[in-house]
Amino acid sequence: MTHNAPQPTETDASTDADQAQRDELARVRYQAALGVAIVAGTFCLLVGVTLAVAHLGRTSARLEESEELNTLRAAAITLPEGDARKAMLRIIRQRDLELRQDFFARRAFTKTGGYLLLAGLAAFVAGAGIAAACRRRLPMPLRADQRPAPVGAQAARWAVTALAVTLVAGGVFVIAYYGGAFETAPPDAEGPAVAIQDPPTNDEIRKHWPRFRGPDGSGHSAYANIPTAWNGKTGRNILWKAPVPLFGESSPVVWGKRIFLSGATDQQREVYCFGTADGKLLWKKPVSTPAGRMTDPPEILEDTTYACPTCATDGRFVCAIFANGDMACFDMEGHQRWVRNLGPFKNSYGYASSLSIYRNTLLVLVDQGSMAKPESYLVAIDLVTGRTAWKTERPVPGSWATPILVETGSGEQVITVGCPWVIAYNPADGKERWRTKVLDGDVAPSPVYHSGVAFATNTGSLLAAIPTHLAGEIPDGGLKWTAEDGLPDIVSPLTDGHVVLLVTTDGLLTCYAAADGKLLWEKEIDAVFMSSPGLVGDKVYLMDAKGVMRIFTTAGAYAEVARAELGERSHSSPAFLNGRIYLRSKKHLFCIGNKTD
Amino acid sequence: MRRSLVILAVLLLMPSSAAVGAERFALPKFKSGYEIPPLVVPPAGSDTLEYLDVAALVLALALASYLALRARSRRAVWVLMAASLVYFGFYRGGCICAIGAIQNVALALADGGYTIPVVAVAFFVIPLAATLLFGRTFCAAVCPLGAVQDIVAIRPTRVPAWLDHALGLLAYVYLGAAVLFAATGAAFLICEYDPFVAIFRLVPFTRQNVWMEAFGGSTAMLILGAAFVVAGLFIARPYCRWLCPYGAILRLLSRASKWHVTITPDECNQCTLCENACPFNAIQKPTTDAPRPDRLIDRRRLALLLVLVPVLLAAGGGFGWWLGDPFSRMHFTVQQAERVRLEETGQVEGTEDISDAFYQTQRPREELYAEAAAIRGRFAVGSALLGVWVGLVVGVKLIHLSVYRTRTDYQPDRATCVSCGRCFAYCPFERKRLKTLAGEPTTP
Repeated sequence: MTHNAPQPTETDASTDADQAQRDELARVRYQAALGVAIVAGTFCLLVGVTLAVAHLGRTSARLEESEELNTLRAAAITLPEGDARKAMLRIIRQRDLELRQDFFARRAFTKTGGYLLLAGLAAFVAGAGIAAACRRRLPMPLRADQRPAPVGAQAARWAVTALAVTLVAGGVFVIAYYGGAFETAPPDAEGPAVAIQDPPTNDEIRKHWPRFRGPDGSGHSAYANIPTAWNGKTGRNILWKAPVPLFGESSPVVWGKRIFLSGATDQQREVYCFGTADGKLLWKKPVSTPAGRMTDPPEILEDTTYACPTCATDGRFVCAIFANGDMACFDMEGHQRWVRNLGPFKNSYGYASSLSIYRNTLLVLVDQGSMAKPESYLVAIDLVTGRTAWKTERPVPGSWATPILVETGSGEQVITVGCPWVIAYNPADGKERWRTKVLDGDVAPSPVYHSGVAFATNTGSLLAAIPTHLAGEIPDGGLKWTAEDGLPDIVSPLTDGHVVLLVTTDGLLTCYAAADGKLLWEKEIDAVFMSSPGLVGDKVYLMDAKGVMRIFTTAGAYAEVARAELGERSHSSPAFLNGRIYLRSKKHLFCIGNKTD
Repeated sequence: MRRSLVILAVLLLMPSSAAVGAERFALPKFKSGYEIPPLVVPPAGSDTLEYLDVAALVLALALASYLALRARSRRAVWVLMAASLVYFGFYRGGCICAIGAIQNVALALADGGYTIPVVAVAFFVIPLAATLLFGRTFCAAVCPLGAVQDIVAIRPTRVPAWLDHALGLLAYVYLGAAVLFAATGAAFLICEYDPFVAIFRLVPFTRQNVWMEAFGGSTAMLILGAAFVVAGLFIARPYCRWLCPYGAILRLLSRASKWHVTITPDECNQCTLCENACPFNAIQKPTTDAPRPDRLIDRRRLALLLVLVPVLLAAGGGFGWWLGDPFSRMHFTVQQAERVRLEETGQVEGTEDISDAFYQTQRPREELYAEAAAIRGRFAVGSALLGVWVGLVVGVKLIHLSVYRTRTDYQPDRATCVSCGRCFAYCPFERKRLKTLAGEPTTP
């Protein structure tokens, strides 16, 4: 039996030829698409690597992080005004320009690279997509026995469970690594306890030396057992002396067993706490605010320094302010409560007004600007929060005096001086009580008060005895008396209720009767005085710039009782505590006391 | 109703006010006398372009729905997808997008002080409405994120269905987390971790306001995007399937859509040809007629899972509460308070930009701490709710996987099907319809 195979017909041959042609076309199409994909993919890889390398290179040359520029800037600041500084500034500008040009050149480069990468990706996707489509084949129907066994829901349930477990594990990881204690309450147990304490009473305040020139700014000592003899060179009656890290003209303030000082340079600002027992530096805290750092250091006189204002404390807090306007409040352990910046001050010699604390507020006198455009104010800052409690504008230009905070017969007053006004405010709300026009020039001596009379003075104007029970603007006729001789330019006056003592920088001492302004005596001393005098009993303690303390009485005439030498130059005012004097020299903090006690 | 429409029209046409330029902090003074130039705020961009975006969205959605459901043209869908990628992706820089609009809506609902842009509301709502009508045609050809993944899906491999089920839950978790962080004002997670936005903005032909320097400040996002693109060559639409939070919402709505794409234009004859056509595992197979011997076990399992759901909710809530603290550290204010606190207590030396920014405000620390504590409280509650949400998602998914359903035909899973039209060409009835039976599949 034979089997005849079907012979191919012409139609079959034609179909085969067509199929072969189609296959050949498909092969060419596939190869072309694959080629395009490979070339485009390689191109993308090259462009991507080039861009990445360029990016890494650029990261190290970002303008704002240029170490070179920062170094140049730092160097320029230290150069004095002159050709060298101008040359340095030219170099900085040129380098800055080059870096900016480089930045934009690189950006243009990456922009072009981005376009190329996108085009390459498009070509790659098109080529690869067509190549993949060429290889795709239609499926054939499957018989039941050819179908893969369906994966049951059980596997999916296990997978879901596994995912849930993974999520929990991820959560545990997050808690372990990003959890942890984070309390936003104040820093420690002592902090809030201190914060909620009531302010000290006036009786308590009088036991300490909480601000410039003592409790009420008069320079009066509450203690009579103050030594009259010491020598910083020989160590006689020097209980201890401690170096002060940064320079400043601020005077020491004392509360209990702690002494507070501030020190600063044009770049650094610090507050120090020393122990009264041995002068050990208990803590040292930097003060820095962004606003303070952003501005150039203020232009100051050498004598003013960057830490001229004296700190203020009330046994709960200690506050400090610096020439650039930075201010800070710490608790007694040195925990910073808040910082603020009130600067930059428009003040030609440098900021010098010291701080005062009234109940729960810190009083800050910011006298700045000119006569034509005064920008002065007295501000009360909440000690606990650092927020402004009240603020009163003042019609005076820049001044360098410290307000006094006194209890008068007609209530508590903050008495301020500034050209031309002496103005008293209510410390509770900043409302003006009275004012009088008696001053002129750049006012630096602070006022003093005794028995219902405030004494304010400045060189080139008057010494005025101002009754503090009046209200509103006090005319010249309303003043108790005025005087014109021996008016000081820096040193604050001193009064014991009987006399008013004035000290000029060049050593002229003038004593007036407090009752009627009668000139009692004058005394010329060959010394320079910057420090304000203090009063212990009937003895005046007056230190010259070389650190020589003259102790004298004022009754009848200048009668020197003793003279003691610190051995170092000093412009600060003394702090009198029980049996001790704390004095700041240019480099040290001294504790003077009778060693035989 | 008419009045509401009028108000809506007025709102849509109302131009937004321009921002007033003002320095936030006091400017420094220079002793050299240099005066800092006054702050100049460029005029706000025209609202017209934003309304054009909405118009483009509506048009693209209408076209996508027509092309997928009516014309049944995968090629046309692909072309529309490419056009959407160019406009919404490269030209608009991926912003605004419906996915990110979730956060705007969440923040607006949680924070009465936040004014949500009308365009953001439109981008959030319109695709949802379209999905309720036509299924996920937004994902098919309008979303630029979906488009870029779809176009690069050259050799997609099939991911096992069980793994797909599990990974698909991540999108719900991401949705919950995105809502939590947006509502608390901590972060717009979806935008911050958008894997494709860096690619969209790689070339600077986007509008100026969204242009981002290539390779600048976005390296991590670019690497993330590149990783998704490379993965997308072999795994179709990984972001859409397993991470997209908007897709998670669309999945739920699409189940109830009035119309939806079908694999076949005619009756399904169970030829099995489309069985492996979908790279997204979105084709459901017919169930067999074989008897189910473990029916009792299935019922017991289902009952157990129903009981388990409240347990999962409670456990999730409790666990989420614990997570509130670490999550809150994503919030700027909490980070700032933490840093300031560390500096205050001397635990760290020096300051950082974040603490400097606070000090410059000259606000007291207590205020910052109180604010941070309030935020942490909100995070505790929000994280607990997130935990409940995740527990609910897991529980419902387990129940869903334990309910037996009968199917007679091959049909798209309405939740996971993105209406891309890939499966059309695999159906012989579709071929017959198109009279292209002799040719190759029309898939690009």
